[in-house]
Amino acid sequence: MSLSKGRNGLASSVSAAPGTIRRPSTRDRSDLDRGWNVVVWNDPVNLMSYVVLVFRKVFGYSEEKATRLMLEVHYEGRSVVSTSPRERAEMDCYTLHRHALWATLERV
Amino acid sequence: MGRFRLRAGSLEVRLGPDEVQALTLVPGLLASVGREAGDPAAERLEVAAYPDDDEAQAEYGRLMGPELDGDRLRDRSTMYSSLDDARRGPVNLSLAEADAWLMVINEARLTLASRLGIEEEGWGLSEDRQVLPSPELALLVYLTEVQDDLIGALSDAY
Repeated sequence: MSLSKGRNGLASSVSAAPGTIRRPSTRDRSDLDRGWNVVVWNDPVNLMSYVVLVFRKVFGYSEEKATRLMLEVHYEGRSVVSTSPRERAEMDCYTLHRHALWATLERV
Repeated sequence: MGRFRLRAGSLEVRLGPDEVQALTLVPGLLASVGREAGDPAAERLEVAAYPDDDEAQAEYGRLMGPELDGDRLRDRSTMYSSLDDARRGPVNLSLAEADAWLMVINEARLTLASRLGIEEEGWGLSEDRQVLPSPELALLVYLTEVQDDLIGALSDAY
């Protein structure tokens, strides 16, 4: 994700830390269906502030929790942002896709 | 005064003529997504929920794909309509309309970035990231600034 703020009157996007993109994979998932994780993956274009706002709006998270999850995405490459029954997880994933976040589903 | 100001549950938008002109590039840009085979923007905007499970992904796509397309078209229509109004002066958007602006501008940013081949963070630091100056990069930088302002204005709404 990018941290953006204008410098010298111009918008710019700077990386808080170098990193490469980890591609989504759900191969490691457990056979036990204890619910489904909605996973958000890092990407180089979505703004950190945008991701925080989306987490707050979609999940009703506090600023602190949304920021913590965003930073986990940024530094770890991915974060489980919610866990719920499959139907609910699919709706949450859909809402994140509508916001153009890189979200996938995996079994808990 | 900034471009966006949240007050009394609505978002006031003030754009100069040049800004309205720049934002009118967004409809054509997004309408072009997927028209050419191998368009990276189409891939970026159509993320698989089940990347390693073809059967589950097919079912998810069957159920959610048309809904996503419809929602995105409605978001774009909402933004373009209010953008047209913004030619004549400040406009007030509901939070739902402001959300549509936020999502459409983000789609446009991702479209530009994917076509520019941006795959690493720090792309704004063009001197060491090899993203060559171009009209597309200029529009991406501009939309990033607009989105940043919009996020700042909306941050108290949630």
